[in-house]
Amino acid sequence: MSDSTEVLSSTPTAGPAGVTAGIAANAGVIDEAQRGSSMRKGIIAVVALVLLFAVPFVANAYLVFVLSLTLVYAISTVGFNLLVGWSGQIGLAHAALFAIGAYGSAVGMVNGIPFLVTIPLAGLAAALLAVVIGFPAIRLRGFFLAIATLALGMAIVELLVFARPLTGGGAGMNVDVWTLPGITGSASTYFVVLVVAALTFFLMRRALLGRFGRTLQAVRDLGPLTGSLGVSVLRYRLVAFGLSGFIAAVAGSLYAQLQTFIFPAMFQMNLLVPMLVMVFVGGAGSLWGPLVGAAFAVVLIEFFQDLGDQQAIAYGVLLMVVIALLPGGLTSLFRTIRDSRFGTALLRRKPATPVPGTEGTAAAPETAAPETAAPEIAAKEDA
Amino acid sequence: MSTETVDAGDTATPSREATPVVEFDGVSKSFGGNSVLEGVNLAVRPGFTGLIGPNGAGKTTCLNVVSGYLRPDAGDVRLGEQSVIGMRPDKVARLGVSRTFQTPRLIPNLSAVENVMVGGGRHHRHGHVAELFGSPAARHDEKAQRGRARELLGIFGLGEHPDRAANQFPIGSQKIIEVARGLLNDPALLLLDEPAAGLGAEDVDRLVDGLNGWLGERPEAAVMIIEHDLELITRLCPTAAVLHFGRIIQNGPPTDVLRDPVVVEAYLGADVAAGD
Repeated sequence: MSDSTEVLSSTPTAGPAGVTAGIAANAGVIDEAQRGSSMRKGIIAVVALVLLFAVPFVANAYLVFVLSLTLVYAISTVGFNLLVGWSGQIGLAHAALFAIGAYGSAVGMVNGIPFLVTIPLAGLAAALLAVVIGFPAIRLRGFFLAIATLALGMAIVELLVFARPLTGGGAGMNVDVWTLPGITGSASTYFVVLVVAALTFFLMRRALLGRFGRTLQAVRDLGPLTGSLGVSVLRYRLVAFGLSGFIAAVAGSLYAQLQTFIFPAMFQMNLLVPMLVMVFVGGAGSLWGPLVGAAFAVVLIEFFQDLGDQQAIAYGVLLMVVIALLPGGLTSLFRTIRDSRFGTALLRRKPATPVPGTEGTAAAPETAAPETAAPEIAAKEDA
Repeated sequence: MSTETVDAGDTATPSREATPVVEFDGVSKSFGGNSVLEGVNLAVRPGFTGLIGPNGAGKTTCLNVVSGYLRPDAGDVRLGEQSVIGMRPDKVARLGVSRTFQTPRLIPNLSAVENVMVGGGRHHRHGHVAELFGSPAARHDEKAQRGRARELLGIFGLGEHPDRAANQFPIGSQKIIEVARGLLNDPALLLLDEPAAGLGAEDVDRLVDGLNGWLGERPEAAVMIIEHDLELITRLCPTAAVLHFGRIIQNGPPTDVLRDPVVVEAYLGADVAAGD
């Protein structure tokens, strides 16, 4: 959704019809077309969901585990992507908030709270914590924001070590596995994960395609200038922090069920870096990128398993390569292929026509980088 | 009420005597000892008002003071009865002040119409939760805003490709999309910072026609334009104020103002070619 490679490609438009006079009529046509395509998308989603629900009945336990893990990471990445990709804030406390979810749920269950209730409770706790972290962080930009949130996140994970009576300290704690009657624990977890993932993607997609997503992108791309549109920049940045914290913890509570044993060292840089890989490989600021990124990372985790401590290096290098070569992530690669001549031929779509006169005069491509904003305001005078 | 707010002595009275939409009252601002505005007094009435002057005269600073981005060191800026001093930019915008910037600031990968829709913050009556769960009223509002955004693109002659990504439009069209975005709020005061800079003749015509069309529907609104294209100022604005070294040195019909020796001196002294 937010990549520089899209400058030359084009979103399919309703055709050349609408001249100024026919705007009203044209609007109707486009609404109609969008409704048709969203209907088709809805059917595809339902079919995919039904197929996914059938998986535990036909596949082996390993596949169910891998799928669950992918979906848990995908949920978490939806939250991280909301903060990093959509609101443009490189907040790095995500692994810690994920840990809050894992521990919150596990500790809650030890104290007799039903698992399904611990999910939203852990989410709310983490959202509150994220807002506390966000309160100073939304006033910082770029590097300073990253460092501040990274430090706070590491402090939170350290606190889990100190809270030994509750968490078992550095040695970790066992997680009670929640089971539906009649099926195995891992299948039960899988079903919960699937439902939560479907809800997360559905709601987030709705929100991001509507006014909420538009406003977040304005905050990201225009920075303080968004204020002139009647939008409180700081409020939206804070909401992004809170929401991403909530989603991180929901994913974390599910992660604890999958791992059945958790310890603080799981949630440090060794988790944060793959989380960043998921966001950027999937495509920062995209809708389906989190799913793609999570699937990619899970495959990679299996692949890099033998590297031991050198995994972090491999992830770091990978992250750099992706950001340098494919700033829009894999989803942008799909889009580029789809809009290429080969893709159009394959899908028999009408080729996208460029706006006449844009070649060469089009504005310089802007990436999702938040620091491009904040220009002529402040001390600068008439250029 | 009409002429005494202008500190230059022999100014021509603006043709209309309507109450000012915005009033600058002795506004001063300096940046680290560098004085940019020195007691600016100016009343902006409904219709077009030009704000001209050599580079560095303090024109953009004036806009930043009205729109809440800068707090003046002294003086007051009133929208109607209300002072905007100390108000955050988003609050000022919600009072009905829209503005554009010298370089267009759009969301590059959103469509033109959605970029315009971002400007509708003042009219939202429903929270994001209502929108998320698709309440009929929220859906109706979204649709109405989309329609109005298309309409605004239409009056600026950009109705042909409303769903094309903003970064695929030439820079001139991007600037016009930004103006349309400012209008979606139905502002009482529209501030345009060099809207014609970088626009071709055709784009300038679109801009002028669109602004005239919009103002025709809302005669009570005021549009304040900073512009170096003095021909455009003459074409649009019944009054123009000249800012020079942080002071309003002239205010009146552009043709008179531009003939004033003090103004000519200010422009030539600053080595700016007038009326390019």
